[in-house]
Amino acid sequence: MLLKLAWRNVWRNTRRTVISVAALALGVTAVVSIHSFQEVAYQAMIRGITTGLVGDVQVHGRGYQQSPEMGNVVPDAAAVEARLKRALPVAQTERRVLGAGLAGAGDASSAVMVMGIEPRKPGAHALLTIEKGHGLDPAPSHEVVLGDSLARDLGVAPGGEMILVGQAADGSLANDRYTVVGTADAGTYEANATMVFLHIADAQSFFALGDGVHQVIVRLPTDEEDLSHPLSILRGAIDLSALEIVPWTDILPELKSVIDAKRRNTQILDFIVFLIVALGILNTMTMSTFERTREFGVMASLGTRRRRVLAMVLLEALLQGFIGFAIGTGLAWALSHAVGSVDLGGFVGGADMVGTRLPAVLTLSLNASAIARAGIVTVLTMLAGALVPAVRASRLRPVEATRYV
Amino acid sequence: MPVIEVEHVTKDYVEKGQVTARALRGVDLTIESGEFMAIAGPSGSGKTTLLNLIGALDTATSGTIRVEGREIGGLSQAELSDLRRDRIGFVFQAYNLIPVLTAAENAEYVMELKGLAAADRQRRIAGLFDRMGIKELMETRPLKMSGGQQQRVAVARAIVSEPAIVLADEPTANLDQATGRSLVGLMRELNRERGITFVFSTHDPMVLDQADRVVRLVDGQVNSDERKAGSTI
Amino acid sequence: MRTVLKIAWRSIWRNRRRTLISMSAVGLGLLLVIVYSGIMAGVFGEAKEQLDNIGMGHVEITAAGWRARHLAEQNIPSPAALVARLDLPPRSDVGWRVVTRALLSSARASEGVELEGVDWAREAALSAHVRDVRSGRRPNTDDRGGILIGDTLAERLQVRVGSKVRVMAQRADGEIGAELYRVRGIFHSLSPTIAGHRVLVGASSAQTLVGVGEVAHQVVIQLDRAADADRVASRLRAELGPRYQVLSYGDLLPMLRNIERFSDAVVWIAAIFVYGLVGLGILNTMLMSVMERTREFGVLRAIGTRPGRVVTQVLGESFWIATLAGAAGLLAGLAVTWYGSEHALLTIGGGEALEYAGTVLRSGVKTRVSLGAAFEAAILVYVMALVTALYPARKVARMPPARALRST
Repeated sequence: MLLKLAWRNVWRNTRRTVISVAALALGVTAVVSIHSFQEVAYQAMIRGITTGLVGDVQVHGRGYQQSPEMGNVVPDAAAVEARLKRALPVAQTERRVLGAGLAGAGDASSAVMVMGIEPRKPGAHALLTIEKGHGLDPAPSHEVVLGDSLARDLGVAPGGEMILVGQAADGSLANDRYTVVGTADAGTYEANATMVFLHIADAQSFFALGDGVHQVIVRLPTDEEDLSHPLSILRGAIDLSALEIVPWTDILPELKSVIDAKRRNTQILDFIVFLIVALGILNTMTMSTFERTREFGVMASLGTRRRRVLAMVLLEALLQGFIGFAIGTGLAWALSHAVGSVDLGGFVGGADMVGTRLPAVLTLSLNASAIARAGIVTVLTMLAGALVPAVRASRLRPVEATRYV
Repeated sequence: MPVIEVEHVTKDYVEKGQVTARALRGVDLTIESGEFMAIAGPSGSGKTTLLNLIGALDTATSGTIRVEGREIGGLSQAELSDLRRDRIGFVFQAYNLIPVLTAAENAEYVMELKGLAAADRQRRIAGLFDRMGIKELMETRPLKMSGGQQQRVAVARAIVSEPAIVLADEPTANLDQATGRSLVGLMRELNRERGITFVFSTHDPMVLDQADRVVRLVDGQVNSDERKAGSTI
Repeated sequence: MRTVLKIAWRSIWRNRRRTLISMSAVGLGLLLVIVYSGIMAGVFGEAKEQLDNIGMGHVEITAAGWRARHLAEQNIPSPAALVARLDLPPRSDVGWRVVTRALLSSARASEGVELEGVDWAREAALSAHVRDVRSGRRPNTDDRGGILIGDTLAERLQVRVGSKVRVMAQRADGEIGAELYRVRGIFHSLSPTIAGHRVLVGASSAQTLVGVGEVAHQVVIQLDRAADADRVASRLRAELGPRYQVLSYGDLLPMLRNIERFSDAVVWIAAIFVYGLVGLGILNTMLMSVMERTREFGVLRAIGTRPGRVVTQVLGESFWIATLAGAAGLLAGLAVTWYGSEHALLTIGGGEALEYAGTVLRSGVKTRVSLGAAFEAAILVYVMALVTALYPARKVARMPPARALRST
């Protein structure tokens, strides 16, 4: 009954209600769209990292993250991998060797990072987008794949030869010749300008590591940002006195902090939307209840309890809020579909930011938490705007029924 | 020359394409300059409607209305506004005055629309307010005045720009007998002094009593049209 | 017009609370737009400051082809003489560098780095990191064995002031050159890339390392006004001819220009949205305020007010609301952005700075005060207020007076 009454009251002044609802819908559309857009962007960036060079989690010898020394290898990497897999069967692991060097081809040379990867592992393949030539052979064959801009700088193409010079684990000079089989996009500008990829066995022999491995990359089939659960499982599976286990958020803390900061800043937007719409609602609800002063007096004289009047007015506001929220979300959905994909290329897409590349093309979609947040903001806004007028209305006494002119 | 000529005028009220009421069903009326007359009739007889049409506040469904010989049927909104500004004054039953302006400012309003200089405006107002006995109200806002005082100020505003005709729609309805009588008496004096035509729409017998001519409407048509003996034309 | 404004002014105060709430909404919207555009302007900063953060020039000269291949022999001979010939605007800072990729090895580890051989005094004017030496000091001009390295690089390689390091690089004759250096100083940079991958030595020492004479690979020019960059670049291009490549920072960091455009667009969209929201609020308020007084407006029409003037009358009320709220919002907005220009209002990331599209942005965002932008925003408020008031104004002005008079 109260609901029916509130509903009919909402539509008494159609134009006013339509405008109020429109304002709220506009706010909801903005909040949902902006939050969704940002979350889609963050997810794309994080996915770029976790499927790329960094992975979800890395296991190293203790102290490696802080100070990556050639001699700090993961003891008995195969066993570590097996233990990780047993603890968390969905995890996929890859071994890596990493070292600095100088690459030369013809008369050009460049300082490079040499990375030994396991070509058989699907993750290793995914991280390299081969542009020319082909990827590394599953068996060690003295081949290299170069980052595309590095290849350009050195003036080599697939089929050409390259010399690598570096410092081996025992301090001696490492020096060898390799065949360039492909050039690739490794995910970031920096990587493309400095990375040389080898079969891990070739890298191990180049740096005289034996079967030593610097990093065990763990990839998880999840898009979850919060890795604390799988992390604790994995942590329990390994010997922490000799090893360290590092999630991507510790490897690229700047990215995480940037994302967190942006999320915080967007909350300010929510607050402002809330404030402006609430002020509007305050005005309209004040006028709406003022016009009905006599009516509230009559209701009171008929014996209606104050709480009921309060509830009715608040309900009127919440009903408008519900409609506005539904329309706003619908609009945001329609907008994301109409726009489809955003090509950020002309603006910021493809640029590097704190170690990851910003996606060039974003496919828009609505984010559930964005919608939930908008819902909460809506309820708070309507209640805040309608509270004072509702309380006023509930306090009107029967004498108002006749007194008010 | 007659001030107002009404010929075969009908007025229908229409809502959503349907005729909901026929307020006037063929009225003929001629009002001469200087008349002090009333249009009388029961509620719903169409007297307010007739007054509205004469005052160019609304348009007739059919028929012709002339104000000072000029047909108003085809005039634009702006032209009608100007006509009301220059030639017609109004006094309504209540809420005549602009609440945020003082009595003097209210009276000045129409003269300002016409573009009269400040000095002129103030001179006229001072003289008129004095004549009407409301000089002390000049800087007062309507909210602080009694009903009778408000109506006097309304009359002052209506005539300060020297219109040809003043239309008064139930001006005494909200006033007590004594105040009402005094108001109408004042209007009668102004009518005699300045030759301004006054047309009342009313069912107040006190007003009808003071009028020189009473036109009675019944069901949207003129039922009777009586001039009192000894009335000046 | 005076009467219109007088009546409008008195009218808006008839319902004081409603008017104040409307003004608050408008003022708030304006405040938000001003502060937001100040923040965006602050994030991307003055181009000169950003370039100084990374030691880039507004205009850079290199030998043609060097940028593609980075070969030691692709260099600019006698850079000092070249620079002396150039016609540069006043207050420009100029320096030149020997640049090569190299392998830096310490006792513990080795890494690929970018090595620059510089004139220390000139470089200090161009690069923030050379001025921010946290341990030790900058090498003297005649110090051929001294090297300056970034702090995070030093940490990774576990070197301190006084440590010895070996540098290997490819020479102009194709051989690998190697030299030993001692760390004289460790610098800090806002740019993690520079802090982690850049080392500096004296120019002549670098020339010896890569086996070249009195040459440089980059001539770096920082101008007093970023806007001059393209003009200066094309002039120098014409002066120097095809043997040299002259680029402006816009060419070097196209992303930067894009970002500036992007942030302008974002501010615009935000403003439109905020004003739309505020406008709807005003619309409702004006609508109700006008409709409540339909009868009054009917009386105005009856006594001879033209419809156009009734419209003006209503717009006058909106005008006053916009004026007061606009003034308040403007003052508040300028106050907040002025405060924010001294004390960072918000951060865009943990840490000190973040790298973005080749340049470095400070994390603690200080706003940039712009009177022009603030006034522009205020003007838009007026436009919005007057446009939204048109609807209720015309609605009531066009009503036949008789109908208006019948309203309760």
